Amino acid sequence: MRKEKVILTSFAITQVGQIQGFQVKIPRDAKRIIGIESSVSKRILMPAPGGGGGGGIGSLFVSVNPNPIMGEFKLQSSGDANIIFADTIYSDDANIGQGDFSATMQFPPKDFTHLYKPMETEANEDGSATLIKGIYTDKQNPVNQTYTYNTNIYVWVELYTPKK
Amino acid sequence: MTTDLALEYIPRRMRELGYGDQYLLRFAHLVLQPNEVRSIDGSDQFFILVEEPVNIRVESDMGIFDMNASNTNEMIYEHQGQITVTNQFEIPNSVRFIQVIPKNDKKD
Repeated sequence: MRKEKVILTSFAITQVGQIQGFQVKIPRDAKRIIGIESSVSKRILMPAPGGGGGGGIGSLFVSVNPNPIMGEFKLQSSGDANIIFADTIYSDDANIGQGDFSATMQFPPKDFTHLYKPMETEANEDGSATLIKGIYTDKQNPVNQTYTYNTNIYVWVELYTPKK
Repeated sequence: MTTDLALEYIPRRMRELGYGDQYLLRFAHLVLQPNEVRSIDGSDQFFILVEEPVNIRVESDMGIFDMNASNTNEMIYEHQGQITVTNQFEIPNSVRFIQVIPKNDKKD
């Protein structure tokens, strides 16, 4: 039997350009780190600039919008793997409505209705590194609308199962 | 971090990272002109700060060291990757690092 566990580390970003250091403690019975996921959850619910995508008849015309960037994660193992994960976090998929003719202007597709299947990024680091050091840098553009938000990092680990 | 602490810290850290004693050390004392911004390519190297420089900002892939910064919860002394050193002073300023350069594997 394979036993897995996910460790969630979450913290608030309250300033544009904030640089947040954090540590993720890996349990003592960890065999290996399977993968890592990251996400943001906005605290102040305001529409993102250009976010959400169009849908409906507008989808016939190609209008590609940049996804609003929130920040960057970097994770460093204390063992010989050094940097094991780096990811850019976006608040919305601004092009989620491309080619979706089912939506109306009153009900455009949003991340929370049409979210792609989230999958972790494979890390495959052994479990001997008991601590992962992380750094998150907020990269919001202060010229645009900015948010106070929570960032989440999920570390999936495989645990040793006791032999019977 | 003092130079003594850095010299104690580096061998342990390099063993942790799997380099053993296969690395070189250089003392890097950078002198920056007023408001100068200098980029250093620190790929496959480590730059360990051996002091707490005033009015100097060091930014890298691993974090930031800036005693004037109010937007961070941690100062990072060990830098690698693309490193940017900024003199925030109106006069020349300097900052000291120990540069740790892992050796390349010898090919047969």
